[in-house]
Amino acid sequence: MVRATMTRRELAAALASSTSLVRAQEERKLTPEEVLAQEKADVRSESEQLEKFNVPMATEPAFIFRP
Amino acid sequence: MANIPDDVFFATIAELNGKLKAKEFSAVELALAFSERLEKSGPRYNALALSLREHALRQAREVDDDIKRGRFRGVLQGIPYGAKDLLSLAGRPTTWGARPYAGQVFDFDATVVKKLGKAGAVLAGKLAMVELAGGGGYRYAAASLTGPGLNPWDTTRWSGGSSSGSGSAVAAGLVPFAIGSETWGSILTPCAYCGVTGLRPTYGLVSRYGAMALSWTMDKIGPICRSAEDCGHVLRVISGGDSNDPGSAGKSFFYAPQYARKLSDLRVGFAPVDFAEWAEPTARPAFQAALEVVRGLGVKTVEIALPDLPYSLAAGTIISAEGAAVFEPLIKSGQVDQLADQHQIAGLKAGLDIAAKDYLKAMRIRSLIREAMRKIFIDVDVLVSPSVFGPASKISDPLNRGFRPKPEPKDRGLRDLGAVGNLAGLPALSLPCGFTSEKLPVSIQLVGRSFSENNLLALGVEFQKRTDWHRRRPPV
Repeated sequence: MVRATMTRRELAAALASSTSLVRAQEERKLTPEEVLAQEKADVRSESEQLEKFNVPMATEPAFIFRP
Repeated sequence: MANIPDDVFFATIAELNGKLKAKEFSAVELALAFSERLEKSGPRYNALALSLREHALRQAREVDDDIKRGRFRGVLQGIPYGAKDLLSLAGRPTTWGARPYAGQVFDFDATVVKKLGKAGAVLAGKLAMVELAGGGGYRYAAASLTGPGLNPWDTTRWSGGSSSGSGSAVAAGLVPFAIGSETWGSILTPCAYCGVTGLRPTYGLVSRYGAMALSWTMDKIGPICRSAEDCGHVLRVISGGDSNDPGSAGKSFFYAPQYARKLSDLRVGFAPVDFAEWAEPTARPAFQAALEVVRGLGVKTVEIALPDLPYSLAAGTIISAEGAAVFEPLIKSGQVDQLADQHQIAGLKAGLDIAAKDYLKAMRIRSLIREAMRKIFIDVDVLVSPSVFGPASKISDPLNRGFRPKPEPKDRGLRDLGAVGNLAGLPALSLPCGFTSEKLPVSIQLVGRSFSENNLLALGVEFQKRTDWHRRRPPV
């Protein structure tokens, strides 16, 4: 008979190993080029988020020009 | 040579001023005692960028001469202090906490340094900071020319950033007060992590002339002290218009707690979800108790939440775009690669890719945020929330892996108050409010309308009359 459930201990072990795997992947030393690519991707993603946010046309940027 | 008792290193400005006037010790003796302590213990916390012992003794001698002649220049006269190493002092290195600027020397004093000197305060040292005040976005506490800021309450923990040395030096009794700066969290975070009191003034109230720029529209300079009252004394001296700072509001601040509104007239807004769900579980009892103390002050409390706007997105875009523009020569020269934090190097480089339309969109969202806050401050006078939702992180932990409650609370409460306060240029006062079960300090913040510092300080002073968290000392 195939057991379809896990004991709490097995579940904890599985979760711990998957968490450490993710963490290990995250902590793998990225090259400077990879980090830069990541940061540039963040800039693009933030640009997309900003694009989706509607601002009333009459809203001016929050700075004041003082002649 | 007077023997300076240990208590003196943890005395408030008013207490030290009283002892100087009573001639318990001279200004020179006090400057020497603090200089020695700063030189000896500063490196223990990576808090010291540069000792200024000789400079301090020279200033202190002038103070002693003044006191002998009966010339009293105010409560800061003869009080030693430290300045974040982004403030210039003529003829001495100003490193901005970053290797590419390690040999940088200016030939003029920052306006705040000049004002404090005129008031008789004694500059004992430059204090360590996160490189370039964190411009570009850093991932590790070690992002500094002087190494990670270590927390006096537990040296395996971070002292916070970017005013790391200012926070830890005040907490460890190495200086009676310090000057820090905030673009987004750089005063409030080290104050919360180190258990000291700090004030982020309204944008434009304190001149930034002679300070490193990170974000022209968001940079502020403010005091880090032992008490709310001390913050009032320091702010009075460093505030005021300055034609050398294009962002100057041209206003002064007069510390007048006697004229602040009656506490029973104040309406204080808070969000229960901040204290019960967004806060880290180990910090919740301290935050809840602090909220009860605030209620006990006789103020009217009102439940409130921030409207749904992209606060962090707007703040991040503005700081990244302005920071990349400020440091474009550093980035283009390739010297940016000398910074300690790989993410910060990449963040600064990527910041140059931010399109003008995105920066302007963020600045237009900022207008909406300012308007939203104007409406909130029709219903309340002060907002109260945890300064940071948990205690200091471990030195080795990446800073993007902070606590996040699971499941995430549905109500946003005042969770983004840090981004909001900085985007809208609002003043904030951070008050130590207890400890976690791991004996790490936590703090609450009070945020008010622009130029309402006297209200925040009056509330802060009353809070500190009823609590003694600001009097606690780390095991130094």
